[in-house]
Amino acid sequence: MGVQEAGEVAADSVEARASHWRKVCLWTALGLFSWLLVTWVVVWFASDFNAWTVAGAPAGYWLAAQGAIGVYLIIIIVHGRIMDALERRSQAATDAAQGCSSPESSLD
Amino acid sequence: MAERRSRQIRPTQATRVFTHVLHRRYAVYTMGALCFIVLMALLERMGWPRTWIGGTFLIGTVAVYAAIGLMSRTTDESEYYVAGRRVPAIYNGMATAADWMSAASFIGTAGVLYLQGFAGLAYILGWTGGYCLVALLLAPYLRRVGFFLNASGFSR
Repeated sequence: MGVQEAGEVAADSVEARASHWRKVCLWTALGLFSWLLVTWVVVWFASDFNAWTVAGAPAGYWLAAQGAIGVYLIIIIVHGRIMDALERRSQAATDAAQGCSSPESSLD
Repeated sequence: MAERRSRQIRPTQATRVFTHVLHRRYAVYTMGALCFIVLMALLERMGWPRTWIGGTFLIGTVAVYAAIGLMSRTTDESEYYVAGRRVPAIYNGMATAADWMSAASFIGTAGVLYLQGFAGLAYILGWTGGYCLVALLLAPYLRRVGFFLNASGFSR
């Protein structure tokens, strides 16, 4: 590898890592915002929510007892999947940049 | 340059055999647990006193757990908490979930909700929301350092 190519590869990988970090921050912020919404907003306006009913219980109560838990589950699953996909893509990018194309197995 | 790409390791033959044996062992254990419950139900029908059934449940299950613990004893922290990371993640998740499905959840939160009404939901929202926060803010980073995470560690 010539010096110039190595410099380009380094710059590319720094930029790739910065973009990866930005995406990670974006999705984490999204997850945090949903958490805030479901936890604090629901509890703050619980008595207003209680005007409606969901599944036979006042909506404010149901949201705090079951709806919020369901939303947490969704946040965790979606966030986990997206992080996995992002990391796999960033790993593949650094592999390609450094010239290894196939994954190694754990024992040989 | 030839660093280990630990995220893309394919399972070797040894790991596949291990996982297959593991599935079989878990299936045997589940069937044993179901048979135990059916046996207790039959004994109750036959008129066993309530305290005896409670005692058998307690002693029987603790004996089985102790036997399993003895057979797979280890002092390695990674082995203790996550079975050396060789067990499929879904089983580890089930084990952690079983930690939380305890008397505190069933009896404790039911009682708190009865006594305090809506305010008691703070416990439920706090525990589960705590797991959510851990997954969002800590797990991806601490995973690389090898920590084991539990929401209760961050409730203080």
